[in-house]
Amino acid sequence: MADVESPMAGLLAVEDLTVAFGRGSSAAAALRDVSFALRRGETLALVGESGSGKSLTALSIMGLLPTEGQVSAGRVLLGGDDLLRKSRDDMIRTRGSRVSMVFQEPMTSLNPVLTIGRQLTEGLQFHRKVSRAAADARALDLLRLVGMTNPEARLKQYPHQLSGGMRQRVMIAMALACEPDLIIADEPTTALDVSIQAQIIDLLLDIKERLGTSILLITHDLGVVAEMADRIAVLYAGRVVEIADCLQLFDAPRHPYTEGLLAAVPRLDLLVADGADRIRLAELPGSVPSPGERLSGCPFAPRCSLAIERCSAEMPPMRTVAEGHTAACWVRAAA
Amino acid sequence: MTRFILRRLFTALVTLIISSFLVCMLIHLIPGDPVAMMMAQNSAPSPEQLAAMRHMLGLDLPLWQQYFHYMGRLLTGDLGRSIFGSEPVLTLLMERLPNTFALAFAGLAIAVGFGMPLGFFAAYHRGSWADSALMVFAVAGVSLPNFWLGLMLVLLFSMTLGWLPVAGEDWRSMVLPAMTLGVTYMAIIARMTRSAMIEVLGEDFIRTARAKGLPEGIVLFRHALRPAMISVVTIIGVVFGYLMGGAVVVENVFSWNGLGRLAIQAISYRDYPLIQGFILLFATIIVVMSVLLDVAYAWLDPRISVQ
Amino acid sequence: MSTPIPIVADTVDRGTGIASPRRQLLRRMLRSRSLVIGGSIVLFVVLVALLAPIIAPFDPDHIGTGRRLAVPGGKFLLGTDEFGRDILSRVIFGARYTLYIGLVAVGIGLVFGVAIGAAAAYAGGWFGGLLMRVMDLLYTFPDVLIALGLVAFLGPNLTNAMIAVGLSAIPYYARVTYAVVLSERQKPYVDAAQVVGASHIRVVVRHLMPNVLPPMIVVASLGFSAAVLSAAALSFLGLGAQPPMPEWGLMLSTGRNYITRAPWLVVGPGVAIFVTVMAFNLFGDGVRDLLDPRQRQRTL
Repeated sequence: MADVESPMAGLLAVEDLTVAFGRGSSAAAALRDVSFALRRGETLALVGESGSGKSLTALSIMGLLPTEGQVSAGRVLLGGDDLLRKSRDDMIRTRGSRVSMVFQEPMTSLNPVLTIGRQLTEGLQFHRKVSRAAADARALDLLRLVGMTNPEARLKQYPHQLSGGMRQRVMIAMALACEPDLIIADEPTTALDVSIQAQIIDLLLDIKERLGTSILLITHDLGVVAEMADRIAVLYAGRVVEIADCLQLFDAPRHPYTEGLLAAVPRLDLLVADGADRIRLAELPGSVPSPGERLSGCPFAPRCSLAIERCSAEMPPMRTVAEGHTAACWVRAAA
Repeated sequence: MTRFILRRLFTALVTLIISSFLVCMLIHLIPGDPVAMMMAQNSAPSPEQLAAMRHMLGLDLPLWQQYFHYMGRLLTGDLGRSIFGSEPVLTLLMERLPNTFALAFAGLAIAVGFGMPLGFFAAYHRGSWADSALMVFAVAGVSLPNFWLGLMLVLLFSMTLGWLPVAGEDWRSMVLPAMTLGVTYMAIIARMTRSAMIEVLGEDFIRTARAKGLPEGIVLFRHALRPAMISVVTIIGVVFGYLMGGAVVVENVFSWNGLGRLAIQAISYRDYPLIQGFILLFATIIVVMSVLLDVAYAWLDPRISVQ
Repeated sequence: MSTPIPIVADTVDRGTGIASPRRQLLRRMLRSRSLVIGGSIVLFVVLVALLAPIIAPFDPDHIGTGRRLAVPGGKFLLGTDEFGRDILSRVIFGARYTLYIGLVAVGIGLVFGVAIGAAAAYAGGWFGGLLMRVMDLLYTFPDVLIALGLVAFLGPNLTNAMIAVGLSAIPYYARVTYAVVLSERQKPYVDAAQVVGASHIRVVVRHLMPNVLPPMIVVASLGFSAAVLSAAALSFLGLGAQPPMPEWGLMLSTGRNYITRAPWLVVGPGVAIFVTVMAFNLFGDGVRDLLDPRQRQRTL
């Protein structure tokens, strides 16, 4: 009972999520047995190269997979409800209300022909059945919360009248409108100028502190991860290969892939201090195998310098290597 | 917005000036002596008659003055006189204009009224059998010769079923010609609407709307419809122009007493002032229509109307 | 011992690597329904036109081949017209006129249109801008009306109708050429060729043309169908082909006078126009899909 109300109780649990594209014999698994958990008030970063399945994981949670993709196994538990088993209408009532999402492209993610006010209030009016006036008042509060100047005027403006940074603030305000338990932020800063990136990160940190919202942060920018994340899950070719607390992962990565990722990051303290000069994932030799090529073994084996015979034959399970630190590697996380 | 409209009006004016120049010069395309050709329909004209006609048309002036002569008359609303019946060209055209407008707008209403919903439906059910059927219909529609479609509709609805008259002046006699015009352009509008809608449905902001948990109805009608309409409106202008062109042909199938029939009569009698007036009138209608649609476009798209 | 992954990589490579680009193209062509159907009908119409004297059962112009206005069936598959001429034979010979009209009109339109469009794109500047503004302007006027206006002054006959239809399509070809050449011109290989010292003509002929050609096949095919429609409309209005030519539009025009007594007069030629125009439309669409599958939804 205390568990439910405790601030660090489990909020989201993704269990063995498997997503396939295509049908029948041509189906290719884009996500395989992805599992991680997110506690209330926590920020979990999902990191990996493009094609690793980060965004797909987010879309699966939201129930917004493109029609060619389908979840073939697994559960997505939000506060105990399995979102994957929900009906279409139930899922509509959940989206934007209990989980909401901030997208990468603020320039194209807002409807160009609707006012900011309309886009901010429509979710509230639908989910919370509030009056137009009440929704407008709430929209003003939201714009103030995300630090927009002159919010009254903003309500009547259209997206093209705002800068990229301001649009991303509007996106965040929209995500917060119905006070969701979880916000999924998919590369929220990638499309923005470096100076604006810092402002958006500060805003997200501030919101997390003031509202206690959990954040699932999806990014390939380790600088953002270092500044925001409590814990990190590393994704490679549709599989989770390592999960650890932020500092622990930067200090003592266990999976060879994580090591490779961090290779270009000289020192964490430097990185945090010098937020302007963010470092992207290091270039590893080779490339992520496409979903069609993935086989039973560890997907990283072909690129791994430590690989042994077993690696390409059998997928290593996630093993606990330290308190709150798990990794999947036959060599570095052996029993 | 005001600036946009002013600029648009300016280009429209330039278009009309260029059109009037081309129309004025068209007469020199006529192989041989145009005046002799025109008058040849009467019993052999005397040299005095030829000279009088030449003077009336301003053809006795040097080439560069002819245009100013023509424009000067044009500005006072004088389009010359028809060579046959010698009525003022403007009067003849204005008599027929309402009939052609009625037909063209009825056709446009059918094309837009059916084409847009069909396109939206197909886009939303992309890949379904209904979508494929609609695309087949769209290709067939643009390939149908409208004069033949008209004849087939007459065969079916007038001759076989006896539902509708072949010709006449009341609204019932307008049904078949309007349908003939409408079906061809309905196919084009459906196809354009479908592609516009498919493009919009793939936009990031549609994903955002769904991520907000809005029901599909709101996503479609509030978020997707208007941006898709914006691109459809831009082509309705072009479609209207082509529809007016189609009207000229269809009027002749159904003996509809509009500008198209007048034009064909004028051409067969070599009534050049009347032909010039006809072309100029059509140019004006098309230009005015495209200005109106651009204004509608600007009004729909806040990126233009809100500076 | 081989590990599974390289084996998989191998088979994947073999799967895509074996087929040559040419065979892949062929396979994609055969998979495109509109290309196959449209192309087959185009080929059929061309064959009918070429072999008309052999396959036509009667002389198309011979008056009194049969009874006047004979009902379809028996000796006269599509019946006879008001002069007792065999309609099927006339439709078969009509294919010659249609293809001839289409070729001449498209030829005129292409030559002038491509020249204007390419000149505007290659020259650029105020000259190119002005040229294209005029083309844009003319484009807003329906081609049938432009053709009608031209025929009105040139005089109504088939030659003038072909010229008028060809001229009326110039803005269309010019606009497409302009767009294609402009986008190709901005690609690095054009600059590279110039840096290496290739002359302007050489750049255009050796480098631009091969890239411009495929989209031009699309517009020529779609333009062909539009030209056939416009020319048939002019003939229908009495401004193109003149009797006794077995031209489809003209046949419809005379046939409609007998629509109550002999409706078959307006069926055969109409179907022929419809099917031919649709074939060229399908073919053009098919080639476009082949060139750029993403463009598929954006077709007019």
